[in-house]
Amino acid sequence: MKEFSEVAARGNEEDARKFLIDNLKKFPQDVQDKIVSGFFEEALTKKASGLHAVADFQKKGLGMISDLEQGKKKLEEKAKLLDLKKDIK
Amino acid sequence: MPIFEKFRKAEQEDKAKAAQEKGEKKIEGPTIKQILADKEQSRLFGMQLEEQGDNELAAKIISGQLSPEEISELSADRQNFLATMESVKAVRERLSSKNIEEIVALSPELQEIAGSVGPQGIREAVLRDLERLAIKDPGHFREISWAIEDIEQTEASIKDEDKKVSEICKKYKIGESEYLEAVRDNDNPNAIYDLVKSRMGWFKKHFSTPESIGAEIDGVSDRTADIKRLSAEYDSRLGGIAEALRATITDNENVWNALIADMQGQRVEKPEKEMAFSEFMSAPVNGEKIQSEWDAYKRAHAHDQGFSEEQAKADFASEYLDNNVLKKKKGFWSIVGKAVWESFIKGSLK
Repeated sequence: MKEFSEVAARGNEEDARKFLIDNLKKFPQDVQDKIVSGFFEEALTKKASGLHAVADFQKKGLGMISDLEQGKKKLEEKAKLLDLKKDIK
Repeated sequence: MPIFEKFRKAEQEDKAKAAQEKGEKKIEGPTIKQILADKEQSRLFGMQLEEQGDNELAAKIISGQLSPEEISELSADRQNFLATMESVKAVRERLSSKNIEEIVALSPELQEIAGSVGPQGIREAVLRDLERLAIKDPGHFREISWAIEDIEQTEASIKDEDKKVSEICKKYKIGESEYLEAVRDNDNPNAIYDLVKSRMGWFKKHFSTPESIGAEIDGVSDRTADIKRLSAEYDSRLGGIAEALRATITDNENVWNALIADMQGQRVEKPEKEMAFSEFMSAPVNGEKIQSEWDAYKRAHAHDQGFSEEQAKADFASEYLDNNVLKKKKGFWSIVGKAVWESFIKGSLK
């Protein structure tokens, strides 16, 4: 525990995280469980926020496809109208 | 039995009776004797009683010295315990080995730990800690439980949209092989991440709203060539979006992980309530203040029924951290901080 406090006191987060992993088995069992849980919860949050972003992206992407396809139809109509005008002339 | 405890018992029994009258389901499960006969169950049951302040009963459970009268008085506590264990069971069932592996894949640290204890070792550690949280910190337990449920629901909603995405990809001729063509035979281990990142970057750059599309159409000149140019531009955008969306229906685990990582990376700032490493580091966990607070705590509780100095140190450390260091903060360093500093404080108190 003292060793970890020394590493943490140096102020480098990556070193502190690495220390926890490299020395996991030196901690009491309940502390080991809490450390693993800490990393797990962090990854869980990461996954949840990533999935929400994917769901949001799918909705936006599908919406944009539908908007562009409608836009294309309008352009085709516009082109047809132009052709008709030309024919009339 | 002290008066306060008798009052609490009567209150619990009333609650159980009222719940039964309201028709709430009585939870079936092991009897008190069965709980006490099981080493792990009995430890957790003792933990629950400790949490409720029944230190004397908890100590008797741990040492196996309960009288028959005391055993019969534990029926309301048993119902609470069974309810808690049912919630843990529900989370346990949700956390399949496959789910664990998917979560491990998102954390380099967990991958390293899994290298020595395996994904199963991680699952066991998480479940042991969840049992503890369910009893000692139900609010935190519920947050994790909801997060797991939320993931399940969001995955189901993505699966629903997958059918539409699949049709779009078919229409614009974007298959998995076409998608991965760019990274095939590429020695760069980050090639898939780079590909996903570039596709998502493209999407963000070309993102358009119905209003902006409407404005483009209104603004195009009446020249056939200009209309055709805009139409071709739309074709290119449609292909690009289909290609970006293709990553969301992949069977390739690496593409999926790259996508989640890229999406998660968009969250640049940590939420305010998350404890930063600097806060963790500067936590006031030693010195005279903590020792004098401990002395006062010990004096105030020394005559409590079933007082044990070891348990009092643990309770004090937990309370001290909640009030002075953690202050309802969340995130990795608050979880690890609580575990590490609790152990440190318990060891340093005189």
